[in-house]
Order: sequence, then C-alpha cells, then structure tokens
Amino acid sequence: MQVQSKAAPPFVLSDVDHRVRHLDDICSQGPALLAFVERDCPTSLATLRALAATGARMVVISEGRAEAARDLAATAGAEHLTMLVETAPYAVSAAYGLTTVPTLVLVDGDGNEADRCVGWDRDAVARLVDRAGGDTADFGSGMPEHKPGCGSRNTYDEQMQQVLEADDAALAPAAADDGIDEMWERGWTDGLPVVPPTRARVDAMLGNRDGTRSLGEVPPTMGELTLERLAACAVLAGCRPEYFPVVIAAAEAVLEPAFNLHGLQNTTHMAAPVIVVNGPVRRALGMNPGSNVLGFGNRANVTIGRAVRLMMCLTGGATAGRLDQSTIGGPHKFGWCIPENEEVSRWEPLHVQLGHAPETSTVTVIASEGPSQVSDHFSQTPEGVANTLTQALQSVWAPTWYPVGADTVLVICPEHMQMLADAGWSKDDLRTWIFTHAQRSAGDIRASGSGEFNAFAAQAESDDTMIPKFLSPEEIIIVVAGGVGRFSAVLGPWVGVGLGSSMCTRTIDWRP
Amino acid sequence: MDRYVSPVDPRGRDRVAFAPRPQSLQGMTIGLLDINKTRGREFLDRLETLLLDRHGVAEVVRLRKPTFARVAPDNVLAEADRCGAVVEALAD
Repeated sequence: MQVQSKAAPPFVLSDVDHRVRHLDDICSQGPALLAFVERDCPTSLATLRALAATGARMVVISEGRAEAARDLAATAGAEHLTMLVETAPYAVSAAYGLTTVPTLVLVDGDGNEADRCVGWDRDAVARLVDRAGGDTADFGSGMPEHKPGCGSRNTYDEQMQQVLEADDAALAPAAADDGIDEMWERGWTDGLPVVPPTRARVDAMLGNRDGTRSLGEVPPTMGELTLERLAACAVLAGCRPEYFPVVIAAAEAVLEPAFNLHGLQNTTHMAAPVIVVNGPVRRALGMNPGSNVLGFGNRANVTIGRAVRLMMCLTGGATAGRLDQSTIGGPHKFGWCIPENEEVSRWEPLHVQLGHAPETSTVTVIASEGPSQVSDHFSQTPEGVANTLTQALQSVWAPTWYPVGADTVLVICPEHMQMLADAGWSKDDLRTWIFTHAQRSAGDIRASGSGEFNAFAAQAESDDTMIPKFLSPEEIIIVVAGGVGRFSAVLGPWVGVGLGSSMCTRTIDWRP
Repeated sequence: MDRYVSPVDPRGRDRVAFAPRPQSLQGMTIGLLDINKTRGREFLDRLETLLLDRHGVAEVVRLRKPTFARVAPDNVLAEADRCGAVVEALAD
C-alpha cells in the first residue's frame, strides 16, 4: 500500500539484550523495514519466519514483554534479527497508527515512511523486502497469497493489555545468557551460584601473569593447576583481581607435600584448610579481622577461601559424595579465610612468630575441623581464661582421645587476649600453660569407649599416669581475631603431625 | 569455542578402569595391604587364613602403609606390584 511520504514517528526502544535503539540508527544506511509483530498472532509468526531468511535491513518491534519477544524469535528462527521490545501502553504502535499485526512499515533513508503492508500479502511484502535490500527468491513459499493478522495491542483497553502481559511473563525464561544456570549444569560450583569465568574476567584476574605457568597437580585426580585454571576458580568464587596474590599463595601452600592435600581431600573427616592471613595485605584488600571473622559478610574473607575450595573440587576433582567422602562435611568447607586482628592484638602475629618480618604478608594453611565456640564471660584472672580455653581444647577430635599430636588453632578474641596481656602473658605463655595443663589420666582414657585402643594409655605405668593432649606446644597455633565480646573459638585438628598434615606458610607475592 | 575458561583439567584422572578380575585365585600371590587403621591387622589375618585354606592361594604377602592418611610409599607399591592382586583393608 503506497502512502504519501511523511516522517516516521521517532522512537526509542530497547532490544531483548537491553540495548537502546533509535529510529535514526535503524534507517541510517538506507531504507529499512519496521516489522510490528505479536507472539500470539499466527500470521505474525509466519511473516517473521519468512522475513528472517531474506537478509533485509530490518528491525522487529515485538508487542509484549521481553519474554514474548525472545520466545517469538526462537520459534520463528529469527534470533539473528534485532528484536525491539514494546510494552503497554504500546505508544509506538499507536503513533504508527496500527490496528493490526503484522504491519510492516518501510522507512527510507531520510526517516520518512515510504510504504507499508498490513497483514500478510506475499507480493506486497516481497516488494518491501526488495526495497530494504533483501533477497526475495522463494519468498513466502508454502504460505497463502493473503492472510489477515490480529488486533494490535494498542487497540485493547488497559485491563486487556495487562492480561496479555501477564501471559507473556508466564513464558519460560529465555535460555540464560548470563551463564549462571549453565555453571550448575557444568558442575562448576560448590553448590552456590558462581560467577561465570568469561575470558574477560579471567584475563582481568590474571593480569600480566603467565596463565600457562603450573603450580603443580591437584590431588586426587591430579589435574594440573595452571594459573589460568586458578584464575577461573577465583572468578567463580567472586574474587576481585586484587585478591589473586593471596589465592595463589594459599594454593601453593596447600600443594606443599607437608600439607598432604591428597589425604585431606579423601578423608572421611570433616577437615578443611583454614587460611590465616597476616601482614599489610589484609588492610589493603579490606579484609575483616573483627566481628564475624570466622563467618560471613566480607567479600575478601569469603571469596579467597572459596577460590581454594573450588580449586580443590574442580581442578582436583574432589566433589562431594564422589571423591570427597567426608562423613558429615561442614559449612567451613565452602571456604575459610581468617585475617589475624593484628591491629588490636598486643601479641606477635602468627607470621612473626614463624620468623617473618611484620611487613611481610603471608598465608598459613592448617587442616582443621569447623570452629567450636568457647564462652568465658566470668573469669577474673588469666588462669581462669586459660583454664576455660584449655578444657575446650581437650575436647578436640574427641574428648577421650589423647594425644591428638596435631596442629590445632585457637582463635582468641580481643577481650580474652587483653585479660591475658594485661597480666603480662604472651602467646607463648598461654600455649605453654595449655600444653602443660591439657592432660588426662590413663585410667580415665582406658575407661572410655575407645580407651582400649589407645596406645599411650595402654603403655602407661598406672591409672594415674597423665597423658598429654598435645605432644608439643608448637601444635597449638594462636591467632587473635574477632570483635567485641568474650567468645573465643577452637578449630580442632585433622590427623597428626607426621602422619597427616602439617601447617604450611607461604609469603604472598604482593606489594602495597 | 567455549565462551568460558574451564577450571577443570580434561586429563585429570576422574575415572580409572578396573583391572580385570582373576577367574580363579588358585596358585596366585595375593598382597594384603594394611593401611594402619585400628584392628586392620586382625581382619587381614583372617583373610590370609581363608585365602590359603579355601582358595588355593600360593603365597600371601603382607604389606603395610606407615599411615592411612597418605598415599602408600613407593617401596610398598613396588611390593604390591609383584602380586597378582591386592586387598586393601580400609576400616574406619
């Protein structure tokens, strides 16, 4: 149908990917077709299917919500076309004087309407396609010469428009192009949503590093841990690129032979690596050494630990219930990273105790059970607090198992630390006191359910012989962390020194 | 091309094919590997008796790991290699 040339009403609409399009952009390169369609209209579907194969310059204006536009595009084989989304009250359709869908409007290079076709008319539509630079060979084959359309949505009242848009919304969502569901389908997850490791995100995480550099094999499947794979794990975990040096150091630490990651991956025990971070990197990354330090809420704390777990279960292949057969597992297995509260502590931080300079940043990994809280709100003396902590430590692994002979972490809260420091106690004083007092009689141990299998109790001279919980004070690792309050925590060990895992420390390749 | 960078090494040994099962134990050398968990030795003692008395096994080789928490050392694996089959006592 020829119309007297008049300016096509300008519009601004978004496409299904939320990109904004203007009429001016669309016809800037010559005559272009505006194809007004609607998902529920069979003639619209058939017309769009025929148009999709022509290569004509065109955009589709789909009346209805984005879900309907995507569904229509998929059904018509038109996903390569620009699909603009027009919703209630369908002002653009009204501006173009629509009564029917499909309506095809040819707009020339000057922005004037040159021609239009209402409903399906094979010859008329073919002429429009031709003028828009499309291929009309075999155009519309299999379709009748004429086919009427349906009422365009701008002709319905507001209530009907809402009903139709509710139907749109009920359509299955489009295949997620945000990648989140796909991550679950691929199994690249610890059970929670992850950030899809696109090339751009992984490259940003790697920075100038060589992604092919190998840190070694991750047991038990011996997957090679390249820096690129570790970067993918860090992206999945939600790390910012500035956290990556800490992730690298933690991965190197757990891969040290003395840490025995292979045994830890395949144990029925609930143990997981706890990553203690020391030095100036903590403040630089905004890590949280205070309230909720063992828990949730801080991106750096949570995602650094999570990156290491994802490396263990994805690159290492120890997925829950398959190669990871931990009997009960635990929430600490999602990731566990503790920055020491060096600012509040009046004691030497862990890395200085281990011989590093205070200005060096380090990670120390220890295989550990989840935390068990220790409340002491009443002791008035340092010995009182020490006694409470000692008795809690005597329960690690099992209350009747002596000795554990394994690296055990005591997270001491600032208020407990202050009471001890006020009395002149150092970290060494506390752990010596714990080591000396954490004992139980051979008779008690023999009388317990598992006592007959305890070699130390079996070899004791008498029932009164005291068996120590720890074989040396160095097994007790003290870290000051937490906020206000008088709750400390005990992080029980995995299998003992020399037999299972030993703590490992790595410096972080990081500069302020 | 995959739009995502994979954290998984495709060459990782996720699945290992089982060795073919012997049709008979007659005349075989069988290794019994104690992983050093409590009472594993008693279990393997009983197995040794049954294998020799009832299944015609020619020789039983007793092997032991220093700790259940680590992969067996190379010398233990080398001893296991000379056996036709190995039973590993896991216990927990």
